[in-house]
Amino acid sequence: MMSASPEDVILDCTGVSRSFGGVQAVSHCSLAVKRGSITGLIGPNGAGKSTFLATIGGAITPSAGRITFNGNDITAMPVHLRAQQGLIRTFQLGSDFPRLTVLENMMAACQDNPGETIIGALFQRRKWKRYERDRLAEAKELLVEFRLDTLQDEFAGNLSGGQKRLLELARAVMTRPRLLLLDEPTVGINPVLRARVIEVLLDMRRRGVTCLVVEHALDVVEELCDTVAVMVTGSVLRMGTMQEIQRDEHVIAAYLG
Amino acid sequence: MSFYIYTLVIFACSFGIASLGLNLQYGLTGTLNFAYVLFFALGAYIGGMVALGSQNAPIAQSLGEQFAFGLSLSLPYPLGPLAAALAGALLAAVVGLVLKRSLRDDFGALATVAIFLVAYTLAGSYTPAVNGYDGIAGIPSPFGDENTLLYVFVAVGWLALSYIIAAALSNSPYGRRMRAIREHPEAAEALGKPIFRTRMTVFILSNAMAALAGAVLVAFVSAWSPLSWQFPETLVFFSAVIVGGRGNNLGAVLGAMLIGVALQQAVLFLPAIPAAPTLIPALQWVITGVITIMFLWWRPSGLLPERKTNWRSLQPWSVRLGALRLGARSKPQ
Amino acid sequence: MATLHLFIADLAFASVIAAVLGLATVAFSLQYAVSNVLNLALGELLTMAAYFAYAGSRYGHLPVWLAGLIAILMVGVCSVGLNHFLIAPFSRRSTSAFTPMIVTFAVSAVLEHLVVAVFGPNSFTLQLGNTSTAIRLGDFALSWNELVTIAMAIVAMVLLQVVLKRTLLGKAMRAIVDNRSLARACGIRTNRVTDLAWFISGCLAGIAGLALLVSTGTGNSLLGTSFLLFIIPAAFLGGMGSMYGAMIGAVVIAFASDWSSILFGSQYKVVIGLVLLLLIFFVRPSGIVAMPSRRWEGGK
Repeated sequence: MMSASPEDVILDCTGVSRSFGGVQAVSHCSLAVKRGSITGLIGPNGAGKSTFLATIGGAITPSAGRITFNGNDITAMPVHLRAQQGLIRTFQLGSDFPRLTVLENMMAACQDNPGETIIGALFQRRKWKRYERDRLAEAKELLVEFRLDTLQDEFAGNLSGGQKRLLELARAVMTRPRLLLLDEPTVGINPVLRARVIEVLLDMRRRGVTCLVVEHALDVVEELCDTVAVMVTGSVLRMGTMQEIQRDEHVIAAYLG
Repeated sequence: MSFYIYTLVIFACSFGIASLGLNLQYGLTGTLNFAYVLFFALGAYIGGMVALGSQNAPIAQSLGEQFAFGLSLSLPYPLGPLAAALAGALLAAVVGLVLKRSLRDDFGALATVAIFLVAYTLAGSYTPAVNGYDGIAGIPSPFGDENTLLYVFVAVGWLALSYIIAAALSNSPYGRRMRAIREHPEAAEALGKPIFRTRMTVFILSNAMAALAGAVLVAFVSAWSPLSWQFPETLVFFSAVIVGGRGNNLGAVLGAMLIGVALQQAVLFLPAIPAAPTLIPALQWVITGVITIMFLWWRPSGLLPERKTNWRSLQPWSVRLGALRLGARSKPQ
Repeated sequence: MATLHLFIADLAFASVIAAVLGLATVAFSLQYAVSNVLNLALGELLTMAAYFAYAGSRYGHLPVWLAGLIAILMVGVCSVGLNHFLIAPFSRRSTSAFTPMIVTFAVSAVLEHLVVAVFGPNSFTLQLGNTSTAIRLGDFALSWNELVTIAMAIVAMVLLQVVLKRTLLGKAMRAIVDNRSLARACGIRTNRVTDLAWFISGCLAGIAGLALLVSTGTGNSLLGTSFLLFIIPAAFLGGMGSMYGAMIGAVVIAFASDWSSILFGSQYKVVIGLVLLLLIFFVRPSGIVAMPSRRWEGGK
């Protein structure tokens, strides 16, 4: 296990457990994610990666253990409050808003919009219009970066699978996240878009966004992640760089059964 | 003849307000509430009972004594609708808190059916509350019987106010949040939107609008009983929203005109067929149901589909007018 | 003690209601199990059974038992039509369960008023069977009609149980409930089996409608709609999970509402169902969706 000083750690999970009907999906799982890193979470099928990610995102409450984010205990915090603190998760399946346009999808990701309360929407129109003008410019820039700008007034439901993936990532960036939880961001999209997604994620690290990525494709992990955590039967077995992991005999044994 | 037109205008205003409310909760936020007409009815009862007074017609006096909470207040006009809206909001808060997270799924919708049916049966069989199946009558006209035209204008004013609020909300970032929650609640939650609180807020607001609509109607028709709010009545509002266009406020009002007024009310003034007086009303319901299903299948977006955001409206008027003058106006989307 | 006598005297009536409610609730849950739609038009299926039987005996001059049998089968066919032409197409197209549910709501309004348009608004009476007492035990008395109703319900339940457990159709139905796409991949003709399930549930609803008519003696266009008031709490209580759950829910609701009307007055008999239903929502914050058994086991 790598040691890190507390300020360097953005997400700290200790002893997280969760079982479903007698099956221990995650058991005493501990993981520390360093600020500014791209950490990969790999492991054989059924190792509990997705469940673990869901407990961090808040969709599943752990039965034991503690999760701190940015120094705050978030173990029992509702999903939307985690998101408001900058802990954003993306989904394995499409999570676009199909009957909102691409640009509306982007704008729906704004976190502190003064027009998102009844009072604000009705009585502070000038304020939220000014806010939206600024964020709209930002959203359009992001869409250019993600090469979705030509589709900005198209309904998100009409995009292709890969474009939806890009939109979801762009939307996640739009929230100005601190930590992004990505569940297989490159699955089911063509190689050109896949390279694009990797490029975007690397670019995000440069902006100071931390990423925790669940990924099956080891070549993507190698290209993307500076730290890799290997999960086997519900807990993290090893953590280190990809080279270290590939040489570790415990990991090899776990993967080969 | 003028009374006929007044009647239609009042019905249009009342049903328009109620359809706007249903559009907020069903069309925009995706909450399914089959007890919607219960809130409408509650507003009518409250609005009527607040206005009923001991100095009104004798029928009102005899009724007034039977009410458990003795509302012979004879309060001046705007208090009736306001009290109605407040009561609707309170009932919505209670229902919403009981259903909690089920507010979004089909089981919650089924529970609203049960809530409606029980409330309906109780309103009819427990006479001390709202005088049972006889209902309340003799509700005074707000500005006197000779000033009906004035009340028509007031009713139009209520509709205008409701429309302004509904339109301002749905075109704001709050409206975008409502639509996001309708489209994909989990994703909206993961983007930091409090879905239960938002649903709840819209549920309270829109059901208050339904109650207001009931109060607007009862001040004109002057009587209210369970016969006016049977279970299928909710379908009128659903039909109005679906035919008009889910998510479009103008569509909701248009739907209320077409389904609520033209199909359901205007025909009531046709001479009845002597041999079968119930044939025409029964066929109206059949047509309402069939039209709803046909729209859901062939034109689910309705006559006026939900509009995409007009980003240009974010610009201050000076900029927008300037662009017009320069002829730089690009094609609208 | 006086109340106890009343309880016993009412036992027969409550049992009949429990039988009718049991049939209707099983039909409701079965439709939900195979099609994932909560059918608000179920009450109208009950109403239509009563009207078909009435029309058959009044205008068709058929013997009552034959008119009843034909009515049951016709309601079964109507139920298949409802699924095949409306619910199944809408479910295939939309991802949310709301649109099919609104369709059933519209259908319920259409059917309720279609009955009025065809038969007129007045109530009708149909003299069915024999109202004389068949069994008497102290305060407890059971008329022949009540006996036949309860027997009919029991026979229908046993038949359904046999179909579910012993036949290929039942096996296919349970497979669909478990996992529809997997069932299709295994070569089960899911659409046809779903239609058959709707036929069975329509027949159950038809029997329930006739039994309701027998127990009340008069029918009108609201006969079934008002009964929805008891079906919904019973279905919630039973958890929509299994046939036995639905039956237990029905028995609880029938007896609770009947006895509460003795204790507190008849207008309160509707309240107990709602109280139970809201209680379910309150103790299970996630709604009953989280209940462990969402599968149609057909009993264990």
